[in-house]
Amino acid sequence: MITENTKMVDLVHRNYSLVSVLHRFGIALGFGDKTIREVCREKDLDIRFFLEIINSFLDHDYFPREHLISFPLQLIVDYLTQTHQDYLGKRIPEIEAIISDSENPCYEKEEHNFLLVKFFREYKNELIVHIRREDEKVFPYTLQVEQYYLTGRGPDPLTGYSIMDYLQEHDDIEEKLFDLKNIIIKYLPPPRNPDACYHVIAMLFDLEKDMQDHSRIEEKVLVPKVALMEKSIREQTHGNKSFGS
Amino acid sequence: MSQISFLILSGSYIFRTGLRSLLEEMEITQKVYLAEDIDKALKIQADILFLDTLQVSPASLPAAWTEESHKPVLVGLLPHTNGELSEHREIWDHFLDLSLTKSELLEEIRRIIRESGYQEHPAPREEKLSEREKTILRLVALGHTNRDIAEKLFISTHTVITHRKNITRKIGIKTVSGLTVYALLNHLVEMDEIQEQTG
Repeated sequence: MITENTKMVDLVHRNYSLVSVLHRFGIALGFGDKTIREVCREKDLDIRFFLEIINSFLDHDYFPREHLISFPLQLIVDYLTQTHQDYLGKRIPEIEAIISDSENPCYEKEEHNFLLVKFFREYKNELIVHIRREDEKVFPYTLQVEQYYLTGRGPDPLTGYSIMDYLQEHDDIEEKLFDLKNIIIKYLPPPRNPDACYHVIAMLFDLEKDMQDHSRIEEKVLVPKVALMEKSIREQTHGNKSFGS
Repeated sequence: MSQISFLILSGSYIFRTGLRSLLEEMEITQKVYLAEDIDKALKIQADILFLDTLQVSPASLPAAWTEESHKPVLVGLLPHTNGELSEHREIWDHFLDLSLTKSELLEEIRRIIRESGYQEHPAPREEKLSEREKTILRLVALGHTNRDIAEKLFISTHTVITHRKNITRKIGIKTVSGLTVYALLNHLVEMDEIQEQTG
């Protein structure tokens, strides 16, 4: 288990994928011998929150924990938003640049390159819609629920929409990514440019793993936390009548 | 049945995760469920159950596991070689001695699988699509809904869904757009047909 005394460098040696998690916290490479505590102090980060995110990334059985539930939603939402930016601002464009590079196409035949790019863009567009919905609708809603729950002020958030509605939508995005991998691994012919394809495959597997972690935080921390607050608000202010049922 | 699901019931984290990693090495393993106590275990359905004998006494076995009709295979986990289980031995189909070495354990588990009537190595999955499945895949790629397809082929929507599940299982593609790419690559449909549909 990772503690505040763990050195940053050991963290990355243990699992290099953490580099992108660190990036979301605004921590860049070049740590020297600094420990987690030192870096968190420098960057004014909540150490306990940082450790929960890192440990849950490394150990899937680590969730769900009471701890994470106790953090202010803003911290969780900020982290999730940063992750979204990582996907849309970096990872997806990187993959797209490789597969749509007409100077150095992945496959011999035009139609195969075309199909790969077409499928990838469909995936990308769906991902964008999904992420926008979370950033613009779901996350603000959760913060509104939290504010109302804590202060009793602000607009009453419980007007039909509930956090549980949000759970249903994850599947198709994950399935498309799964299909994309299989199309490249199994069904397209051997590539003209194998290096590019290896690179794309590695990035897709990394992305998939990161997204699983991301969904775990959403489904096991964000959603239960908001659902609890919704329930409490409903009982207090709406007198536990048939509201929302 | 081609693959097997396992359940490990033990309060010991070491037992649960250790045995899980062994089972996951086997080709035949479909899924390994873990439970710390009987209440959790009862919510799970599996083919072969590994039960900690320190925790589950034969008298306390729930009816669901002992009724003749749909009984799972019950394997008692013995923490020591000299674990004495003189009473109610007949409840258990097998025992697994946890003090064995890794290769001995794997050998024992394989024996249990064989003697329980399962194939140790699942037959290679049949992955070729039938003509019917190809027809349905073609229609899916052309953008038809399950109901459209049912009407066109004079079959029930339920049957269409079953075919689609089988298609997905065989080729490992889950989404409609993935299936469309598969259909194009295998010339079940051509690009201009699809563009006509969507354009």
